[in-house]
Order: sequence, then C-alpha cells, then structure tokens
Amino acid sequence: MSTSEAVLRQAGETFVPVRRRMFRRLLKDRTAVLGLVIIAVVVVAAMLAPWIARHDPVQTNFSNRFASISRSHPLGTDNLGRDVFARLLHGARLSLGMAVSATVGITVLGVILGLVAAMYGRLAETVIMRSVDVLLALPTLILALVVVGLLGQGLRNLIITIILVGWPRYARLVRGMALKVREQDFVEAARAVGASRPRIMFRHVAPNLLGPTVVFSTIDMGSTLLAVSGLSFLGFGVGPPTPEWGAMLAEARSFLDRAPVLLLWPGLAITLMVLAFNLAGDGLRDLLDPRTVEATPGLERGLKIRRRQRPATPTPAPLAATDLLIEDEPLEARQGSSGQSGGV
Amino acid sequence: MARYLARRLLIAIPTLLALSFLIFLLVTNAPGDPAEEYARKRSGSQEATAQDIRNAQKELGLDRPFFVQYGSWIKGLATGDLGESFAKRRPVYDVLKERITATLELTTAALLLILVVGLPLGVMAAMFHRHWTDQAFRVAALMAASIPGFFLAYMLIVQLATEMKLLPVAGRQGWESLIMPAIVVAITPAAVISRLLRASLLEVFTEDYIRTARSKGLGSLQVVLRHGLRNASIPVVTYLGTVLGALLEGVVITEFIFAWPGLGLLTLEAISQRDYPLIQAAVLMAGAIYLVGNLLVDVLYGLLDPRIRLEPAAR
Repeated sequence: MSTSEAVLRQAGETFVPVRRRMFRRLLKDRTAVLGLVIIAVVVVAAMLAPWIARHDPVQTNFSNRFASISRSHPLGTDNLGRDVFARLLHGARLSLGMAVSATVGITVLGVILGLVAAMYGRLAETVIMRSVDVLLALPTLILALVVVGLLGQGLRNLIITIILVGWPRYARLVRGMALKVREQDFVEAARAVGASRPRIMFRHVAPNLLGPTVVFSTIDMGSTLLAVSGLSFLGFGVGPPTPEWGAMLAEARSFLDRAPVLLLWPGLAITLMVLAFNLAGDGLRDLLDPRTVEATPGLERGLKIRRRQRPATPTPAPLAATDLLIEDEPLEARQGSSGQSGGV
Repeated sequence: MARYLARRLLIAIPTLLALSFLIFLLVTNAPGDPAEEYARKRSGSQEATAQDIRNAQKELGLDRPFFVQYGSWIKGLATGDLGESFAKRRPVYDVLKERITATLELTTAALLLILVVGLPLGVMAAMFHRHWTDQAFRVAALMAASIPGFFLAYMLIVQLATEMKLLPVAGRQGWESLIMPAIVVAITPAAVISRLLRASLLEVFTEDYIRTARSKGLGSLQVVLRHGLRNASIPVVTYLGTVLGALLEGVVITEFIFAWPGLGLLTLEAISQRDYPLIQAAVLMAGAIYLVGNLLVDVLYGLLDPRIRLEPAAR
C-alpha cells in the first residue's frame, strides 16, 4: 500500500502510455523477471494443484498428526493430519484468486467512476470525488476491517470489502489522467464529428489511460494480497476446513508450542508472493517513470537492484523520456511531465 | 499559516461527519442484532425471548428510526458525549481513555524505531553507494517490506519468547513486552523510509552546493549531515503521512496478536460484539488522527522547504 501510494500520486501528474517497447525493456530487468517467474511458477502450480499434490487438502487423518517431512508428505502434516503441501498449493488458488479478483474489481470500478467524474463533471464529479475524500479519510485496512466485520465472514464479503475500500485511489488516479487526455486534440475531433459522451469516454479516453492503470494495479497486487490474507488471518475470510494462506496461519497459531513449523509454510508463501509482486512491480514502475532513463545518475528507484552502468560524469536529467510519451503531445507538456511536481 | 490551518481543519469536519454517517449506516444495517446479544447476556441464558429483545432494543435506543438515532448520536458528539458502550455498559469516553495509553505507547515506540533505524540506514546506504553494504541493505529492505506483520510477529514469538525465553509472549507488563510489537509495527515503514532517504540523498549528492561543500574540505559525513540531509528529507516527510496510516493499521493486527490492550484490539472487540457506539467512536477517532496527522505533515513540508507555499499567493 505504502509504496504504491506515491506511485499513484505521481501517475496523476505524469501521464504516459505503455508500449510494446517497454515490455522488451522489462525483460532486460533481471529482478523484475525474477519476480514474474516466481509469480508464473506459483500460478501454474496452483492451477495444477490437484495433479501435483498427492493428497486431498481437507482429508483428515488423526493417526498421522504433526507428521514431519517425508516422501508422502513433502511438508509434513498439520494438527488434523492433513497434508500441508496439498493445503499450501490449494490455498494458493484461493489466496491469489481473491487478490486477483479483488484487484480486477477495484480497477474496473475505479476506472469507471474516475472516467465518469472527469467526463461528466458537475454533480457526478462532486459526488464521486467527495466520496473518495471520505473513504480516504481512514487508513484502508481499518475501513476494510469495519466493513468486513459488519458484513460478516465469507469469501464473497471479503472480496466485496476490498473492492469497496480500494476503488477511491484508482478513481482519483484515473480522473487525473482523464482530465489531461480530455484536452487532447483527438478528443476535440471526436466531439466535433458528433461522438456521444459515453463513446468518447470508452473509445477515445479510456484506451489512453488503461495501460498505466493496469500497471498500477499490478504494482498494487502485493499489498492487496497482504490485505486479503491479513483479514483472512483475523478470521474474516473463508471458514475451516478450506485451505487459504491467511486462514492456515490463523489455525497454526494454536499449535505454536507444539509445531511452530506449521506457521512457517503459509507465512513464507505469502512473503514470497508479496516479494515477487514487489520485484515485478518495481520493474513496471521504472518503465512508467519518465525520469528513469539510462543517463540519469543517482536516481535508482525504490527497492530495485540496478545493474546498469552509471556514466562517468553526471549529466542533467535529459528529456529522453520522449519515447515514452505520445508523439503528438506538445513539447511544453513533455517538459512538464518529466519534472517533479511542486506545490501541495 | 494560521489561516491555512484553520481552513484545512474546517474542511476536515464535514469529511469526518460524512465518514461517521457512512459508518453509522453500515453499522445499523449490518446483519446481527446487538439487542439480542445484550438480552442474552443479561438473562444469562442461551436464548433470549422476543420480549427480552424488545426491552433491550428500547433500553439501547435501537427501536428508534435511523435518523433519530443518528441525530441523537451527533447531538451527543457535539457536547462531548460519545454515548455508552453496549457491551461494557460504560461511557465510551472512559473506555477509550483507558485504552489510549497502551496504543500511544506502542505507536511512539514504533515511530522511534522507524526513525532511529530507518534514517541512519538510509544515510549509510547512500554513503556506501555501489559498495556491497548498499546491496545488503537493499535486499534486507526488500525482505522487510514484503514480510507480513502477522507472520513476522509469530516468528519473533517463536524465536525470542518460546525458544530463547528472552521476552514475554504477549500482554503488557514492563518495557520488555513492548519490544516485539514495536518491531512488528515498525519494520515495513522503516525499510521504506531508509530506501526513500537513500534515493533522495543520491539525488541531492549531484547538486552543486554539495560539490562546493566538499571542495571547502568538509568531511563526507559532515557534508551529508549538514548539507544533504535537510534537502533530502522532503520526500521522507511526505511519506510520514503514509507512515501514520501504516501505524494505525499495523496497530490493529499487532495488538490482536500480542494481546496488547490498546485501541486496535478494542476496535476488533467492538466489531465482533456489534458494540455500535464503541465502533463509531473508535473509527471516528482513527479518522481524526489520520486527518490531523496528514495536515501536520503538510505543515512540516512547508517548513522544510520554503519554496512550497501552503497559502494561495495574495492577489
């Protein structure tokens, strides 16, 4: 949540569409690729869970409780004799599935409301943006806690909650970008030939800000996973015996003295995935940041490991961000977007 | 400055009111009836009769229409009366007062940890730029930013409390019991702050005045501390608003795990007991702290960088 906050804020100011060229650049970024590979491996393993894991994740076996690592149970068994490895793999389906569906929901809702606010103005804008202000007056997780706590435990309620508290930041971001796109000539042209407002909104404005929005939701995925598993850990997610990482941790809590290793596996799984999303997200963020160009010295972003060569003499940040921007944008706009924002 | 502050505080009031209305709406429409729970608790039996529930509703004021309930809550709020907790049958104000010290203790300790650990690490990472220490810090920060607090908490408990028996597992007795919760709350913000300060310092290092200071013959550390730090601190200060949010959020799960009797744990209890007045008050307080904290961050921002004007220029 924390790092993406700054990114989202910045994105409101620097509007840059994604290009295929960026994808190639992303592949050169070794840490980002590592993140993507981890994500891909875990996702595939989760999809193939019934074939990879030899045991049923909810099948109990009281004669084989707290078994240690063995051939038949690669990660041992838990307090009810269930295979931990199978639970972990099947848990990935739910944990990642929830994080992904929540993120998709947040993005869709945020994009629509942000676009409506920017394109329709007046009452719609006032209502949407004031709601954004109100919802952002509380730290996200606290609001989520209240909402899910009152809606009650359950998979669907958990996802609804995350979407309800997550969309405001996206709406703010999308509105900011849409306000800029709205002023472009091609929008004017579309309006001149008589295109309706919804058509302009979805056919002309939306495609121009979809790229950055999707990238930001990817960056945000790690914190969404943390939120989902955190709420699930507190008991607001799926009920037992369904395997889910946060719920597995919560269950293992009671056996802290007897088998602390039961806490280790789901905990490591969440950490690994958040780490992978952070690595991949940092790479994506670099692609979107016009200031991260090879010639800019001392501008290493965030937590990323950078292996590019630093030039011998520091040169002032050049205007090389142009290849990331739309060609028909006026030069002033380019200069404006590569600088940092000043006021409050 | 005073006018700016006054205006921002005035804007915060309708936002908080709207927030309270939203929470009230949620709370009263949520499934689960606090009157039933209340009646059950009072009669001491598992089942409450319809008559008992009706009586309880009347006593708690839940039989009134929604807007009357909200109106009377607002009226109470205006006179400083936060109502009475359903579950504890005590004034909400007293309950909050009792719990706030524990949370303040935890957040202060965590904030100190964030600054005392995060800032020096950031300075060191910047000074050791392109050295292996910088890489080590980077990997450590990445791990610290990715590990969920609720996982780290148990790793600490298993290692420091269960195995080595150095610290108490949970509860709030003495300063030792503060160590683990504070670490759990502080770790991610400390990691992010160290990275931010590092990046910002590296940017500042390319400025002319740093070269001037160096050529005057000042030592590296002196240049960093006297010329670099203040100029590099602006992105760090902007992040403090997010730190505040992280503290408020972190406190909830951490207090739950360590049975730390603060506001976070109280909020969780209130939610599970459907204690409407307590939920309302706790959420509103968190919102107020968050808004005022962010306002302070903006003010600090302006003080650090005189180029930033908070007030619109006079016409």
